[in-house]
Amino acid sequence: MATQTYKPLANITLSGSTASVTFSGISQAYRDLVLVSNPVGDAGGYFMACNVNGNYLGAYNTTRVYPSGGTVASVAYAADSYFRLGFSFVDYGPGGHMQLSFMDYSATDKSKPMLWRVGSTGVGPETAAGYWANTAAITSITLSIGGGYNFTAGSTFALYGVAA
Amino acid sequence: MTMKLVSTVTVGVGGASQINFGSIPQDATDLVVRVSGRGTTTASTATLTFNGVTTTTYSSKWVLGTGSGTSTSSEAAVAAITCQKLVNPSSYTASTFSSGNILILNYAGSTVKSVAIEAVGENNATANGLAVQAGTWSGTAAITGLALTAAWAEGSTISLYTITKGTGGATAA
Repeated sequence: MATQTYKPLANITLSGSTASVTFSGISQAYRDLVLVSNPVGDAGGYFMACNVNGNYLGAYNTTRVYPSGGTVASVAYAADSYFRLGFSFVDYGPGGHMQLSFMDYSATDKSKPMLWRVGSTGVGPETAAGYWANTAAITSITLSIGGGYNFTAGSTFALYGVAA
Repeated sequence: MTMKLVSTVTVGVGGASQINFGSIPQDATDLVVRVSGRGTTTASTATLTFNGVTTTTYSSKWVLGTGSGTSTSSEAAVAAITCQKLVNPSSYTASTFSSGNILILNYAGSTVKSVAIEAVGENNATANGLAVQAGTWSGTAAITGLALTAAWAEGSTISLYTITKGTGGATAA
């Protein structure tokens, strides 16, 4: 039997509202992680944040490219407290999508690169790349919305491990 | 198996005006369409529809890069999603094909369908294109079929996969 290289690890499906979702105890048996989500938010105008290992220190760096007012814009955040992903969250759902990838997440000798893709027809597609300036293996991932806003019922989050 | 090939279509001699996938299994979570495409015309887009629905229930927004500039545009309440840069124009270097990926989340569910598209052309010249696109189908029916319409040239290959999430995990309140 062929070795399964794209392995489902865990799922979260919301039955109510919550400000954050966390995948913890992530298996260290894979090379990369892929988190796919169909998020629905209860309000807009606020970005989604991503933290790993419960770490909120200034070690997150993100560069985003997104459509803005008929043009294409880009912004970068350095030494931030989280990966700062997206904006106008209410436009993410229904019909919004998110894909978040961590490469070499289980390595202990390098910073952790991240690629992110989000989109909705309201906001449009946005891509981002970043890295967590920490050599610790990633054992948990938390997605949250600030400003008192929430993910709402029906939001789905699926985590996959990709084997080398 | 998490990612499973459902079907592959390779366009033969004479080309094809539409690639159809029907009777899509309903036992998975997401759909992935991988495209290696070339056209018989100078058009670089293909239209995407679900379940044979061609009513004005599709919308999308995209960002383009051409090597000399960027742009963004959108379509709302249209009869199909216009997938940007999914087809290599006939004017591009001979025997080159675009590379594209279409992800459709929760395709078997009863909610609005979210579509993520990325595609890039291939051309031995400065003229080229890359697109990142977000689309929506407002239909709430499960997706049982999809069609990609373009002047597909011989050698174009389109493959459909399903991705199945795990059965474990949490339902969080």
